[in-house]
This record gives sequence, structure tokens and C-alpha cells, in this order.
Amino acid sequence: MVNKRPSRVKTYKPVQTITSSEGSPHVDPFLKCGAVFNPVLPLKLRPKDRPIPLTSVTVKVKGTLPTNVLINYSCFITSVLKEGGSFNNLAFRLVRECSSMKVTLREYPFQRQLLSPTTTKEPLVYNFCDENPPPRRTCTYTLFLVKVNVSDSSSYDITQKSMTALVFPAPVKREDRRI
Amino acid sequence: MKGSPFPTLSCGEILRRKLPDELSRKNPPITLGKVSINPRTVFSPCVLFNYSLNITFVTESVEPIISLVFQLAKTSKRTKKTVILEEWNFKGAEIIPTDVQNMKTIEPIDFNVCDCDEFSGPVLYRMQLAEIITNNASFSIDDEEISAIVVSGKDQ
Repeated sequence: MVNKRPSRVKTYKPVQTITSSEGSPHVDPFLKCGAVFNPVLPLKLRPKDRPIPLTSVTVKVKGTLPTNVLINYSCFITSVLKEGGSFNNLAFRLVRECSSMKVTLREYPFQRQLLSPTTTKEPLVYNFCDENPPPRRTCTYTLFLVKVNVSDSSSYDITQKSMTALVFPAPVKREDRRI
Repeated sequence: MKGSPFPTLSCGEILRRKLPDELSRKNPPITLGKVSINPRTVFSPCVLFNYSLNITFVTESVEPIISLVFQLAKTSKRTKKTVILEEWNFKGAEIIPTDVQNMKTIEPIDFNVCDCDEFSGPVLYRMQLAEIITNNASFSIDDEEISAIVVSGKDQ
């Protein structure tokens, strides 16, 4: 029996304790589960085309204390390569949007090219540690598919997508003695 | 410990440098990235270390081989003592008897280590390349990310 994963993961408002200097001067860590989208995946997507959102997660940090955010994205990629030397070439883009200020954090290329005809399904995991994003803001992290280039008669699929954000206090910076 | 305990997330630093085609274990390892933690903000600290990367590997001619040995070094900032916590080998080889076109593969890799050893003070974790072997293939390491979560490992 396979448990079917809901296409949209419900998110809950985190119970945050942000204390002033009277209490402990930190934000309690919290976890946000992201939303998963299931768009129709094209066989061709050029850089000038509109990026396709795959997952997104929204984080609200009310305080001004420094926090770091660990974004995790995972999925499975199926590559159907029908001839020797055929390929699929994809690219993903992680974007952070805080109060309509958009920043591209990272762009990840993915490519499969094998000598003999092959069908594979493999897991893909990306982590991004966002150091001290803007405080007192709501930030949405979105993973987009931005490029698809597959050789003739080849195809691909992206399944079991998931995205999470872990929000933790940033450690107190000290002068790093070189080792 | 001053005040109440609080877990932390440290984002590490990636050291960009050109990598050689060959590296023997007789040579010092090449540090790819590092992250420092201070375990003193929680009781019974445990560290969840994460390193992720893309390895791009292009075959250039017959019998291509790539073999990379990664290691995670842990150094106590107080005693300066270094131990190797983990070592792993990324290997790719194809049996290609005749010369074919260049083939490019990007392998995404995600690596976690859970470290609940006794901590006597701040620690530096370094992800290193200890050995590189290539034959008729080239490679690059991109999109690296390194982080460490310090959280209590004590049962509730």
C-alpha cells in the first residue's frame, strides 16, 4: 500500500514565542511545511519563458533578532532516455520574495545523459541555508522550473515534490580564530 | 550556560577554488566548505551537519573514470585536535570501448551526519576532498551548501 501524498500540504501558523530582552533573547525554532503545485510539465522551456512554480513555503518572522532559515526541497526525477546519448537537461531556480522584493538565491542545473537507452527514477535533494534574511517580514521561498531541454523522443517527470523551511536563531557571531 | 537554552542553525562558508584532476592521499586534503558551531547554547548538544552539492561529470574518451573521496573533519577550537568523522567515495565509470561524444551528467548529492559526541567547546567542521582520480573525464563541484543545526539530543 502506498500512501498517496496530498497535492497541497496544509500549513499551520507556527506558535512562535518571541520574547523581549526580559526573557530569553531568541526566537523559538519552528518548521513550516510548503505548498506543492502540480503543473503540466512542458517538453521545452526556454529561459525567456515564464518560470513554472513547483513548491513554495512562506515564513513570517516578527522579531528583529537574527534568524537563519534552512530551506529543503526534494523530489523524484524520472528520465526516459530512448536512444543512446539522448539527454534531459533541466534547471531549477530558488527565489526568495520578501514584501515584493524578489531575489534569486540559487539556480540548480540537472542533466542526465547515458550511453544506452535508459529509464531512471532518482531522488533529488537541495538544501539552502539563508543567513539572516530581512527581519520583521513575511518571506516566500519558491522553487521554479526554469529550463527544459530534452532530446527527441526523450521525456521526464518530476514527482513527490516537497519543500520545508526550518527557522532557527542564528548563533552569536564571534571572531573566528583560524585553524 | 547563560539564560535559557536555545537551538541554533549556522550557515557555513563555501571556499571556491580550482580543483586538480588528481589528488593523492599523500597531499593535504582540499577544504571545500566549513561551518563553526558553539554547542554551549543547549543541554546535551547534538549537531545535525548537512552538506549538499552537484557533481558534474563529463566523459571525454574511452574508459572514463572518476573517483572522489570526501571526508568530514571535526576540529575542536580549544584543543585544535582534528578527527575524521566520515569518509565517502563518489565513483563513476563507464565501459566505453570506442571513442564517443562527450556525455554530461549532473549528480545531486545530499549528505548528513548526526554528531552527538561530548563537546568540550566550539567546533569547526570542514568538508574536504581527500583523493581525486580521473581518467578521460572531467568534473566540477557546484551549488555547494553547508549548514549545521545545534539542538539538544536529550530524550524528553
